[in-house]
Amino acid sequence: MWPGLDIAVLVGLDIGAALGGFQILGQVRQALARGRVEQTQHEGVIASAPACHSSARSPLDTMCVGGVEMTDYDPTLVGRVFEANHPIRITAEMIASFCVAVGETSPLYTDSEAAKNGPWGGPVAPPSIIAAFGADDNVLRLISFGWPAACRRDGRRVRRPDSRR
Amino acid sequence: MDVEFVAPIRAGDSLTISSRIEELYEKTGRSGPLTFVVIRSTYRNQHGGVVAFINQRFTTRRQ
Repeated sequence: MWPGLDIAVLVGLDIGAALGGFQILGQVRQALARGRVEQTQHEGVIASAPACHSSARSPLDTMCVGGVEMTDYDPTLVGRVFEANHPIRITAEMIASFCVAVGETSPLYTDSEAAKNGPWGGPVAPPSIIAAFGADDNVLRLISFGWPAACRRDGRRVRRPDSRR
Repeated sequence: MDVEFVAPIRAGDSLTISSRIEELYEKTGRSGPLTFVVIRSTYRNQHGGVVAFINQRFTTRRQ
């Protein structure tokens, strides 16, 4: 249930479900505080950045950066670097499924024979695949907002007809 | 969000992500103070070579 929930909540806020969204955001915040939110990536790789331990009275009160609650503007946070805990392993299967998912049909990505004559001398991943790696999750765990006004992304989740969300 | 593609990513690569807080600033808009955060994520492959940068700008409003 938890993987991707934060992303789903942010999108939920975007479409205007503000009041309900705040409640859900509060649940996510509590989950973060308990350290329960772990993001499962492709190939079972888990990336985890510092959880945000917020004691905010309301979702609008605070912003967390790298697990540090920032109730006021804190310029000393500039320059902090956060490393994802685990690398992302790229596989041919991952590339193939990404191409299917986005409708990419170029043989440069999936056909090793055809790609030999291409610009890279072999198959490569579509550049946009990096958007599917959960980088957003990494960043969104790095900073979490009471009001994610500028967050609008849900590209990683696959929605099926029977999806609940 | 903007992305800079530097080098090709291939099957078998192992990518690591490093994210840095590049900028942090406040502006006051009509609805009150706004805090902006710019985060730059660097993707490197197993050889240490950069394959991509992603810059993301987030905004939050405080009350």
